[in-house]
Amino acid sequence: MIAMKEPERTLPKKIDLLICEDDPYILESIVHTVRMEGFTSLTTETGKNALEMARRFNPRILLLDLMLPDMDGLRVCRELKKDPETSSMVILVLTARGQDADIQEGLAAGADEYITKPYSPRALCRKLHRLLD
Amino acid sequence: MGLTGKFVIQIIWVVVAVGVIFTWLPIQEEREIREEGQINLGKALVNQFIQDTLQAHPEIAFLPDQEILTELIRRLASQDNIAYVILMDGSGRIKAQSGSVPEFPGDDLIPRQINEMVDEPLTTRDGKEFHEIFAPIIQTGQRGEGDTALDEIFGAVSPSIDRSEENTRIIRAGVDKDRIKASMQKSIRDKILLTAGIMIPALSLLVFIFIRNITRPLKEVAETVRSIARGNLARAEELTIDSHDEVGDLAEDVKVMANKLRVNREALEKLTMELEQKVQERTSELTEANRELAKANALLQELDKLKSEFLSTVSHELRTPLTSIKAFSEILLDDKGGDTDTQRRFLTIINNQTERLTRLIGDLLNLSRIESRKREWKKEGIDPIRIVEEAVRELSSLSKLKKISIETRQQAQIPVVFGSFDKLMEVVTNLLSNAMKFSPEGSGILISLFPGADTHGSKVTDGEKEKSALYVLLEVTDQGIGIPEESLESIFDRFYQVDPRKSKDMGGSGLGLAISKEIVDAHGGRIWVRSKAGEGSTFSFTIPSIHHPIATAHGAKDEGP
Repeated sequence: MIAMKEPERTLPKKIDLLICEDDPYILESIVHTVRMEGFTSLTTETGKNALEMARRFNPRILLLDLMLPDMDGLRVCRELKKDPETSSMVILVLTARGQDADIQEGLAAGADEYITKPYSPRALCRKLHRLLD
Repeated sequence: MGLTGKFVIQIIWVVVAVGVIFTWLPIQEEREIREEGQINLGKALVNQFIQDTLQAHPEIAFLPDQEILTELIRRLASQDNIAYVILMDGSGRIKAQSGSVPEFPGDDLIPRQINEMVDEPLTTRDGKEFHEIFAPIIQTGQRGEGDTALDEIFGAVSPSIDRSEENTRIIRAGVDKDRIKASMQKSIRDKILLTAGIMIPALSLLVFIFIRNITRPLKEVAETVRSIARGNLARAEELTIDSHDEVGDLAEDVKVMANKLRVNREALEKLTMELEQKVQERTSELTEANRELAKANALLQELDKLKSEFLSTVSHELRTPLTSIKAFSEILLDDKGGDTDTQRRFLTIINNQTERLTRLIGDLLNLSRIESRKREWKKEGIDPIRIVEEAVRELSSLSKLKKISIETRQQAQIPVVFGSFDKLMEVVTNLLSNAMKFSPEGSGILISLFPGADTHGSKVTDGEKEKSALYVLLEVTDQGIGIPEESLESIFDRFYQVDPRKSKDMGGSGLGLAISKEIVDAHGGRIWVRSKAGEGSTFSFTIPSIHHPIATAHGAKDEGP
C-alpha cells in the first residue's frame, strides 16, 4: 500500500510582493511591515533588477519606487505592462512625486495604484490585504 | 486728325474760294467782251449790208424788188453771227425776211421812227435771247452837193424824198445770244478744268508743304514730351529745334522741364534707396533684437526648467527621510516593532533621519543664501593659512576618531587672499570633511597652498613674484576610495552623490560640493577635482589674492601674513 501513495510535490508558493526601493531605511520599513502581515516578499534597489526579478518570479504585486538610481520607474512600469507574461501583475507605485501630473503620467504608464511618500504602513497593509486576500 | 490735316482743311476753303473767284471773274469778262464783239460785228455787217445794197441798188429804199430784196437778205442772214434778218417798212409791215424768224412779243413789231442804227437785247416768247440791231436804210450823206451819181439815180428824190412810212425801209438783224453762250462753254470748261485740276491741287500742295514745315517741329516736340511721359528723359537731349520762335522756345522749355524732372527723379531714387537701406537696417536690428529676445526667452525657460527640476529634487530629498520617520514611528505606535532590539534600531533610524532632514534643510537654506546674499559678504584680506588652521582645528575630533593625520604644506611666500573668512572656511571644512569621510582609518590627508597665476591654478615658481601672485591655489589630497571618471563632471552638481547609500550613511546631503562651488565662484575663483577610483582624490580651488583687480577695485590692503 505504501507504493500506492504518490509523492506530493509541493510547488513553491507564488511570491506576494516584489519591492523596489533605493533608500535602505524606507525599504527596511516596508519589508518589516509586509513580513509582519505574513506576506512573502523579495527586494531590489535598481530598476534593472526589478524588471529581471518580476519576469523571473512573476510576483502578484510589484511595489515600485519611481525615482530609481539607474532608470525611471515609469519605464519599468511600461515594460512590464507591455509584456503579456507580466501584464496582469498589480503595480503599486510608491513615490515622493505626488503632483497630479505625475499621478496621471504613472497611471498612463500602466500603474494600478499610487501611494505617495511619506506612506502609512497601516494603509499599505489594508491595501495589500484587499489585493491579496 | 493731326494738326497738319486741320490746317490744310481750314486753308483749302480759302484756296478753293480764291480759285473760284479767279475763274469766275475772267469768264464774266470774256463773256462781256465776246458779246460786245458779236454785236459790233453784227452792226458792222448790217452797215456793210446797207452800204453794199445802196451801192448796188440805189433805188432799193423806194423801189423794192422783192426778188432782189430776198436775195440780199438771204446773203446777210447767211453770216455766222446773224440769226435772222427782217426788212420792214416804216409802218412795221414786213417786206422781206430770212428763212426762220423767231416769234416776238407783239409790241416788238411796233414800227419805230429811227434815223440811225440802234441795238437792244430782246427776248422771244419762247425765252430765246437775242440782241437786235435796228437800222434804217437811208442814203446818208450821199445826197450832198455834187453827188451826181445819186442824183442820176434818184433825180427827183433829193431834197424832197418821200419820207413816208410807206417808203421807209428798216432792217432788223438778230445776233443770237445763245450761240455766244454756246461758244463760251468750251472756254468756261477749260478754265474750270485748269482751276480744279491744276491750280487748286498745286495750291493745296503748296499749302500742305508750308503747313507741314510749321507743324513738323511741333510734332517733334510732342513726340519728345510723349517719350518723357513714358520715362525716357534722355530723349529731350535729342531735340534739335533751334529756331528762334514759339516752337523753339517750347523745345527749350521741354528740355528745361526734362532736366528738372531728371534731377527730381534722381533725388527721389536716392531718397528711396536711403529709405530702403534704413528699412533694411531697422529690419536687421529688429531681427537681432528678436534673436536676443528669443535667446533670453530660451534662457528663462531653461532657468524655469532647472528651477522646477531643482524643486522636484528637493521635494524628493526632503520626503525620503520623512518617509522613514513616518513609517517607523507608525510601526512603533501600532506595536508592530517586534523585539526590543528591533524597536531600538527603528528609533535610532528615526533619530538619524531627523538629523539628516535638519542638515538638508540647513544646507538648502545655506545654498539659497549664497545666491541672494553673496553681495553682502564682508570681504577682506585674509591669510589663507589662518583659514586652513581653523578648519583643521574644527575637524580635529573626527580626524582623531579615524586616526587620520593632516599635513599642511605651503610655499614660502603666499599672498593674502581677498574674500569672506566664514565662507572660505566653509569650503575648506567641506573639502576636508569629505576627504575624511572617504578615507580609510589611519590614512593621511595633505593640504597644500601655492601662489597661482590664474584661475586654472598655474603655479608661480619665481620666488620674487610669489608674494604678488594674482591667485592662491589650495589643494586637499586624500588616500580614499577615489571618484569614478564618469562622476568627475557632475560631482559639483546639487544632490549629486557618487554612491547615494554610502553618502547618506555618512550624513551627506549631496549639497556640500555644490555649496563650495557657489562660494568659490562668487569669489571669482574656480574649483575642480582630479581623481582615480581607488587611488584617492585631489580637490583644488583658486581664490583671487589682494593683488587681483577684483580686490584692488574694492580697495583691499595687503595685511600681510
